[in-house]
Amino acid sequence: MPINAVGREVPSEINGQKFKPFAGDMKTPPEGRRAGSLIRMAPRGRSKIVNSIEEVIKKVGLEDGMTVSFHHHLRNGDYVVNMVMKTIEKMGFKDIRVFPTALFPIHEPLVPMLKNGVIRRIEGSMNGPVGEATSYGAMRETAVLRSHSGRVRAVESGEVHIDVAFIAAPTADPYGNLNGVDGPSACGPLAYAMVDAYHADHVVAITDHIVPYPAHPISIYQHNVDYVVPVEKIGDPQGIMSGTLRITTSPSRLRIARYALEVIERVALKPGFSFQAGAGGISLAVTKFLGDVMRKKGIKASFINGGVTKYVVDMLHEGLVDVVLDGQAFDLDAVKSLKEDPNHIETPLAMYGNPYSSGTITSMLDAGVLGATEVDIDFNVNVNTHSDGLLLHGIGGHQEVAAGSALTIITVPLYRYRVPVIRERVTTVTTPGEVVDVVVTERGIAINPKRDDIIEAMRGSKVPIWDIQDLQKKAYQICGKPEEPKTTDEIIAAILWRDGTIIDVVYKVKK
Amino acid sequence: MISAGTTEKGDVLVKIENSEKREIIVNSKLERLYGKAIRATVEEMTEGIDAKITVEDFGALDWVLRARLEAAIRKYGGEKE
Repeated sequence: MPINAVGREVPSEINGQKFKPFAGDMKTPPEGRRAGSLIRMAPRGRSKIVNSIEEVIKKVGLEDGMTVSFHHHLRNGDYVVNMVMKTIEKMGFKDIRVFPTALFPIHEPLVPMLKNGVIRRIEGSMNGPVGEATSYGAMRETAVLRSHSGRVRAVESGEVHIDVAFIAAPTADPYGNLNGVDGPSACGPLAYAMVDAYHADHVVAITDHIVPYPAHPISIYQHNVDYVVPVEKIGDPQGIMSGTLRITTSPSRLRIARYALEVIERVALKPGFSFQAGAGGISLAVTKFLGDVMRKKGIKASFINGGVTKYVVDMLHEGLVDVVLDGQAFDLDAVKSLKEDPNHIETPLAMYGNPYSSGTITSMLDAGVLGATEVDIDFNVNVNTHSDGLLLHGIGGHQEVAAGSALTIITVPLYRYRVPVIRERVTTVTTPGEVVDVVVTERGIAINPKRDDIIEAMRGSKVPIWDIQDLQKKAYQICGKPEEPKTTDEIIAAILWRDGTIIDVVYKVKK
Repeated sequence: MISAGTTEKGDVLVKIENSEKREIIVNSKLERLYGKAIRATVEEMTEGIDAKITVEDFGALDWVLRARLEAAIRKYGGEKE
C-alpha cells in the first residue's frame, strides 16, 4: 500500500473504487466535469404529496444495492433516517448504501441492519453507536468518511451517485418548496441537503409541517423535489436544538479560551476581520470573550461563519459583526435570527470549503478555532477516533476550516481524565499538521514552526510558549504512556481529505 | 468492608474486604489504554495484603489512584486493629 504525505499507509482501492493517497492540501488537481442527475418531467397536478414512505419508495423505484441519502440538520432529534430505513428493511430491500451527512446516537436502530444485510455500507459521519459497531466489524463493506465539503465534492464529481435523497423538511408546501426555519421541528438552514437535492435522481421531502404554496423563505426549490410525504413528526425538538448552550465553567478550559483569545488578538484581530465559530464549550467562550474585546476596542468584524449560536446572533444584533454565514444552527435564537434578519444568510455547503469549486467561504476566514480528540508532535489532528481506536465522531467542517483559515487554532486540554491529548502520533489523521498553526492548551501554546509570523506576533506575550514536544512530554509525565490500541489489520473505514484523497484509514478494534 | 474514593469521572473507588485469599479486581473505563499500568500500581501498593481488593476506575491519574489506595489501606489497617 502507498504511504501518503502524512506518513500513513493507505490502500489505493476502497469498495472497488480507486482513490489517490493524500498528497498535501491543494496538491491533487480535479479532473472531469460535474456529474448530473436524472432529468425528470414536472407532474401534471399541483401537488406532489404522497401519503406514505412505503408508497414513495415504490414510486421512486428503489432497488437492492442503491444509494439513499439524508442530512443531519435534525441531529440527535432526527426521526427520518430510522423511519425510512425501517420501511426499506420491511419492504425487503438488501445491500443499500446509506449516504448521510451524519448519524447520531438516535440512529442506533441502523446497527442491526448492518448485520442483516439491509445496509452494505455507510458513507458519512457516524457519531456514537453506529461508529462503535462499525469499529468492531459490523459493516460488511468499508465505511467512507468525508468532511462537509468533501461530501459535496464527492457528489459533484460523481464519486458518489445518489439514487434517492430523503430530505427531512421542517416546512414544505405541497409542490416541494422547503425551508428549515418554521414548523414544530425547525432546525434553521437546510444547507447540508442542497447538494443532494441538485444531484440525486429522485428527491423526496419528508415533513410534519405543510404550508400553502409557495412556502417561504425557500431553501430547497420545487424544481428539485419530486415528492412530499407528510408524517406525524420528523423529529424531537429536544434533540434538534441544543437548548441554551453554556460556556465552559471549568477553570482550565477557560484558561484555554483566554490563551486562544490572546493569539487571535495579536495575529488576526483588525477592523473587518472574520472568524469561524463553533458550539463546543471552549469555542463558545472564545466567541464571547472575543465579542467583549471587540466592544472594548471598537472593532467590528465583517463576518462570522458558523455553527451559529445565540452568542453569534447577539454579536450580529449588537452590530459587532456585519454578516453571519450559516450552515448549521445550534439553538432557537439562531433559527429565529436566520428567519428574520437579512444579514444572517444561509449558505450552501458547496460554497463552504470545497476545494474543487470556484471559491470557498473558509478561505476568506482570518481565524478559526477548532477542537480535537488528539493532536500529535507533527501538529496532525484527530477528530474521528478515540485513543483506544474506536471510530466515534465525524469530520464535520474541521478540514476545510483548518485548510482555509489564515490562522487555525486547535484548542485542547493537555489530557482528558487520564488520556493524553497531545501525543507522539495521533491514532487517526483527520487534518494534517501543514494546515494547523497554533495548538492551545491550559499549560500554554505551541506554534507550528513554519509560522514565523505568529511566533513574531506572540513575542512579549505572557502566554507560555512551548515546543509541541514539550507539551507532549508533559502530558505523558502526568498520565503515563498509554498502551497502543488493540486493532487488527482489517480496514473498517477510510478517512478522506476534503479533496477526496485518502488521509488515513481506521482499523477494526478487538473486543 | 472499607472504601476510599468516589465514582466521579477522573476519580477511582477502592474497596477492600476480608477474604480467605488475596484477590484483585480492576474495572476501568480506560482498560485498553491503562489496564496494565493500573494493575501494576495496585499490585505494588497492596503487596502483602491478603484481602479482596476491588478497584473501579473512572479515568484517575496514577497519583490519584495511589492516594485512594493508600487511604483505603490505612482504613483497612485501622479496622483490623
